Amino acid sequence: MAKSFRQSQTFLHTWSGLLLGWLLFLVFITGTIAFYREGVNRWMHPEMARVEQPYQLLDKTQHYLEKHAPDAMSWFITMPNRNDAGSFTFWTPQPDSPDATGYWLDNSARIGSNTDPAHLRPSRGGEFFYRFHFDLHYMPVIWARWLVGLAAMMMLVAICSGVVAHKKIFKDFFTFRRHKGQRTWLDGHNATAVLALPFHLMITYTGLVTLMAMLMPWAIVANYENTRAIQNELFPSADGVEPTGKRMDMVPLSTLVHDAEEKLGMKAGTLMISNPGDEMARVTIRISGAEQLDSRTPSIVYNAVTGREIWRSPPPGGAAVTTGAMIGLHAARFSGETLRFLYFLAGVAGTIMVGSGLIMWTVKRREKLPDPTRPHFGFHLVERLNVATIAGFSLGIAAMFWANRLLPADLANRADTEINWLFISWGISALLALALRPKWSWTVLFGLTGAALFTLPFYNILADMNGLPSTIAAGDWVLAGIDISLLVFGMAAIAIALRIARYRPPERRRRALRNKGKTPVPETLAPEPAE
Amino acid sequence: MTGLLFILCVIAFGFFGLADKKHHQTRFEQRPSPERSHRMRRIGWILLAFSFPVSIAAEGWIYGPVLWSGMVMCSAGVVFLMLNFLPETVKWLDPGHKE
Repeated sequence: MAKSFRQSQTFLHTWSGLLLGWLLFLVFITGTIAFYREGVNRWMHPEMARVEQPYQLLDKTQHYLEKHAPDAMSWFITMPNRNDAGSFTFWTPQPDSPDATGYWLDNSARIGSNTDPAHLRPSRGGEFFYRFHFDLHYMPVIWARWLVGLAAMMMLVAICSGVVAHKKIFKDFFTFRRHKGQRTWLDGHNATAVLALPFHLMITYTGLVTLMAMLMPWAIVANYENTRAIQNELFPSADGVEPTGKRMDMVPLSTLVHDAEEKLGMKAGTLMISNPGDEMARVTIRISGAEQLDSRTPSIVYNAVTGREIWRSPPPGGAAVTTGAMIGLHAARFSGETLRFLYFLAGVAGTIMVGSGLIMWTVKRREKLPDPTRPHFGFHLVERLNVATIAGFSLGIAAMFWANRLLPADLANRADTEINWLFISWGISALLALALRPKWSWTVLFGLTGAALFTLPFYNILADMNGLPSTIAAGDWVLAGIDISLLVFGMAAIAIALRIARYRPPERRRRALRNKGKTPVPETLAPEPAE
Repeated sequence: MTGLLFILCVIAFGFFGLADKKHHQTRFEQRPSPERSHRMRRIGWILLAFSFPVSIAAEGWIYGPVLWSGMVMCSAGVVFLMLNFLPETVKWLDPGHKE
């Protein structure tokens, strides 16, 4: 019998979702956390006070750089603001300098108003989750972006084919059949997918847009001789200047920031200082991405010695603004508290959508297995990968948060070690997923995750690290919100673990008892996903 | 304004959700006639349409549409959870409905 269009779309949806689903789960969970990357930065640097005087802190950062990196080729400073953990800065040493390790983070510091960068616990904080969701980890970023780009393309296929395959998409909008096994999983997967469908479509498509030059370069290759040509056209910049070698003092950077903010009417986001301390020092002040929907913000270049404006970015063309707006929609930097929380909720829905889809594959096929105690290899593989990824990676994230609290501040390579603990825990979880029966590996891993997440806010109170009572009293809702989220997700994980531990498949047991001695009754054929 | 927007969207989806035969049966203890379902859905659409200018008033022409889509999705989710997870003993008494 020829397959109907809907049936072929169902097939496409199943396989585009399954094959890249595990990677997509990782991207979704870290991307969702990344909506609060500044908050997690602050959470993971508990000794830093909230920034109250950004311009003073900028000057302090300038003094730090003048003292520790006076001969650098360039400095990069993120403008401190109330939401972030102080001011983050990194610099590019001269090529012949002993500091030139090739790894940019080696020459970086986080400057706080009440902290000395030398004594601050190094941590990647929320930046890890942001970077991971497209650069992954432990691999060259180009490989990671190709993988994530491929996964995102499959995600788009999965979304569109899922909509086509879903026969009664409006009729079943509010449907949730409880205690019906496979049908319940389907309804849950459909709910998280359809109710937040605009978000899923937007985030996937705009995510692809951020990688579009890499994924589909042919229009560029056909029209431009080299990447520099299109870079100059898309992202015009002031001409670079060579340092003369004559040392001269620079004006305080905060005065330039004031000037730029006044001229453009928006808050500054980053500063890039080339040839610092030289006669030819230049400062490029770029407006913060939080100030507009278009992520490609305007910039002004100043002569750092005289403080005079040298160059201003021209207004972008229509295509550039369209791209910038799409990237802005994806990154949500423009969002205030309400919208950011809505983005976060939608991200959680997306994570559940991917996870429930992966699990549903095994639930559906378990019913069709000739011998449920001895499934075929593919079933084993998917089932164990599900546990290892969904439960294991969640435990890894919880472990990383704990590592941030427990690792000593002066540990060598502390920031990397924190992250290594995520992967170590994930690795151990994967081994558990191989060794234990899935019912028990799910239970143990979710139980551990839940316990780890739930107890963290209490540790914060005990160790006086921005515990809930003090953050709520101070009206610091970002930090309080993270602790509350830890409590909520911790409880959810424990509830899931208990549910799985107590689960008994009722029908199978009753039917087995009824059919003792009789020929086995065939299970009713599982319906297609759209029904 | 944002709070008003949220309430408006929740009520709109409330109408959509309760127009569904099964949920109407659970909460009103009788199945809806096709005209009643149709009427309820129409009210839902009107409320949803009205929520769009409210979102523009809340956040302007650029961020307003973004807020609107976020609120629509969120309120749909809230109504979904309420209709499916509030105990079945929570019902509405509807004197206007013909027996």
